[in-house]
Amino acid sequence: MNNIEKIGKAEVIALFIIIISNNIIINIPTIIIDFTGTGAWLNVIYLTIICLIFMLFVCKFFKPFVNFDILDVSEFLGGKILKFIIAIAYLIFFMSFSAACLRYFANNLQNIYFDTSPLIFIILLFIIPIVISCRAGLKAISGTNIILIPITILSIFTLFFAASRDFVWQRLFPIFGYGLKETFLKNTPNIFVFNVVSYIYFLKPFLKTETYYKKISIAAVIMCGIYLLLSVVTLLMSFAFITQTDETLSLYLLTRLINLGKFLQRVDALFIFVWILAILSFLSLNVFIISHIVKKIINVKASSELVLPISAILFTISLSFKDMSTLKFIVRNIYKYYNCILVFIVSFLILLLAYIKKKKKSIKANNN
Amino acid sequence: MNSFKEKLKGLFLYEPTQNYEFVLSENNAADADKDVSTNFLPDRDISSSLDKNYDYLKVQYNSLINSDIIFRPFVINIFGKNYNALLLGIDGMISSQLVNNFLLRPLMETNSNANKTQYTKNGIEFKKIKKTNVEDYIFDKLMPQNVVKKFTKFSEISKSVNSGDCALFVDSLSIAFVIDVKGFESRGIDTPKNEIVVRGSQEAFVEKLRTNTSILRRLINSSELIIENSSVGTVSKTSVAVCYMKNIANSSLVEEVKYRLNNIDVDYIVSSGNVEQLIQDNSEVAFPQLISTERPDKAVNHLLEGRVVIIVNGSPYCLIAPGVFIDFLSSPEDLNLKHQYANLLKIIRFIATFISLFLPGIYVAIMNYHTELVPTALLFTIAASRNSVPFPVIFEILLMEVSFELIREAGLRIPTPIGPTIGIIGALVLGEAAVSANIVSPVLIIIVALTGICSFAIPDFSLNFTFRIYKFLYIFLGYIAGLFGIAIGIFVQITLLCNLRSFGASYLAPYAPLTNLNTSISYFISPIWKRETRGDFLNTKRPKEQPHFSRKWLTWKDKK
Repeated sequence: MNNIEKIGKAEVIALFIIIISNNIIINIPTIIIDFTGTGAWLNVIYLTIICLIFMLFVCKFFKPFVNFDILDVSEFLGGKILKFIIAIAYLIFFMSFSAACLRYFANNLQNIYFDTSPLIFIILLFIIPIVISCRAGLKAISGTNIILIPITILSIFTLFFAASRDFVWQRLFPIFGYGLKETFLKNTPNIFVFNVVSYIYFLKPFLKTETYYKKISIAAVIMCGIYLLLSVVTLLMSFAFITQTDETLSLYLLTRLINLGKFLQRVDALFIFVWILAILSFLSLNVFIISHIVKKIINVKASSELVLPISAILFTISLSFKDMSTLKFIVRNIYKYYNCILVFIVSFLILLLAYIKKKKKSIKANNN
Repeated sequence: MNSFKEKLKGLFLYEPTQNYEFVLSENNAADADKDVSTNFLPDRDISSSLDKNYDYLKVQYNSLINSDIIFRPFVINIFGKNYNALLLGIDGMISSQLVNNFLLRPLMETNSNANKTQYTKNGIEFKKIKKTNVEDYIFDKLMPQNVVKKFTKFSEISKSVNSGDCALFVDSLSIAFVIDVKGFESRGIDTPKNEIVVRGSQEAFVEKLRTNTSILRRLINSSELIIENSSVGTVSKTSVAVCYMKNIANSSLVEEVKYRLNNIDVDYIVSSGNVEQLIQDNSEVAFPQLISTERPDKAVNHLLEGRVVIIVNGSPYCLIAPGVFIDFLSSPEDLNLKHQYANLLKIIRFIATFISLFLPGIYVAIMNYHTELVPTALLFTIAASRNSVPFPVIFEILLMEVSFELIREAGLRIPTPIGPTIGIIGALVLGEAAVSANIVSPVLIIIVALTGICSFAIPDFSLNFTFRIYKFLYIFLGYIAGLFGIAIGIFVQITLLCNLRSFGASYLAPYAPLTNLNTSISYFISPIWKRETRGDFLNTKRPKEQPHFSRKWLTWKDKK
């Protein structure tokens, strides 16, 4: 990892898909359902449109900054201090989200299969492959991801289609859920579910050809929207929204509905198996980005040596959540708003101001 | 009476036991650090004095104790002047007929008139003797062989003599002629023993390097095929040929192969397997990183794809670099078949690979953690069959897997006629007896047998070994954490494979990183007329393999 490893278009798209898939696996859609009720699917469409417009602006503002990520743009705008502040903010963002994901999934895994095993062992078993993967570098992470992505997509779509026979269309009503205001205005912060944007900010320097950046970003948002819509609609039609589906993985509950004839009646373990691979891939990417950020803050050449301490911190944080309700509270009430402010407001403002500064500079240079 | 006395003495008198004992003393630390080159005679230039050269050669070849070294001193007469000469060769390596008839005979005949011209001027007869260089004269007129080289160093001469040539030293010349008179016995071209195909070539490489290179030449029929020779091993000086297509193979790849081969500092190598271990990228990973084949058609196919073939003298297997994962899952038969047949075989092989690697691990995982995956009726059957077995699943499966490995190994080591019998008897009797004795359950026998059969469907011998090792790892992971453990194992393995490179090519190419799959190198193959490009990961000089319309006999309408 001494030099920046470049990855191709297919690899980046696969990375985005794994991020989106993991959002679904770790129950993010249920948060939308909780806040908007049966209006969740309309909320998702509305948020997708907002996010698409937002992304168009982001791509436009990012265009003059070749090989820059959001930290480089911050440095360009406000010097090392701003870069440091933004880096720390993103560090907190990625670290807390990764830890929450890890804890949430490990906890569910423990509840489902390993009720006698201590949580610490389960989390440790997750950490080991993450360390190995991150030390191998981004190319290895993206390579692994591109191999795993077909089965991840297949598992999710199979699940949606297999569960379709239990769909009750009436559950989509009332169409505006808790009301128009709740569906559209009040729950705009639900845009945090498009957290794929935060990765888009960082993956630009890793692209082999930057010309694809805009297309890839737009594609990522559209894919995210489609996935979320599908999962929200599936969950809404499968369970009454009042049901507390978030006690465990919602998708896991969906798998329990599947039986393929008399032969395969309980295939949930196979789905969990695929999701473990997806989670590992996703967390590896997160740890890689965290180590990349730390590398930029402390200005070291190689980030591979940072992977072990970062993973140790991740391990500690994931264990530090008191229980699942604390975790849910943090995600729903802190992480959600923190994400919105950092990714959709602060970063956007930085990009906008940096874009203006760059324009002014180029005009000045042209005049001289 | 005497014998009685002797017996009595033997009964009561003490005689120290005298056992024959031979012990090799171990190397001390000082010897271990000694430079290996100190054991050899220092290399020297050839002297113009034949006696000095003779003395040096006697020492170099230990002529007093070596029985097969031939020193043949004789005299060459050129222009009436005698020159002492010495012929050096190794008995059994050179052809006596060639040496006697086409080397010694022309040299030993008197060559006094060869360079004289006579003419008469004004009634007076003149004889003109042209001044000629002895070295050129011998080279041009006395050696009717097609391959004659001149060397100035003893090291170069010994290398050639050791490989079957003979050397001629002539007094007053500070060079030696090395003449190709090889005549040693070698195995003729035979059918492949381990890579059998139905619709393909039936010839295999042999141990002789030059025969192997000639097969490649014959099959490729292009002057762009380059065969470069070098040697590996300080002592063995084994000849190694690096073959590549000059107009196709990436120059950096060729240079890298040559660089690695030229920088091997070992005393000896005896087979291509040794070279493989010495030049592969990562020795820690069990996966094979170079393709090894006994089939010339496979080697030719890879040469034309832009890879480099390495042939080692004395080994009927050549190496091909770089080797990527899908190469080891492909059979030489695939390219001889229509793509539909080949793809069917590839699907079957993929399933077989999956089963051979994961089935025992998945069985352990399911039996220990995920019994709900098994259909209820089947679960009852399994439970009933396991009811009388007192051991846990992990013990059962390890016992049977180890037994299977034992049968497999024993089957290989015992003489060929009874090998398969032992295999069948071992498998049947052992399995049947183990079930009857309630040591293992019948389901487990099916699992182990299926795994074993599937492992035989893996076309590459080395990959088969790799999977046999990893199979035990997955059994362990399945035991400690069920499918979760297996998922972790798969993830780590894929990551490590993504990080692995073979001569600069990503091991999981063309899938990770994802490149053009419609090439001649991908797991599932397209129709032959659609394989327009060579593998992206090889970055060849000629990326296009054929034009868009290769079947020019088709009408324009058909092409569309």
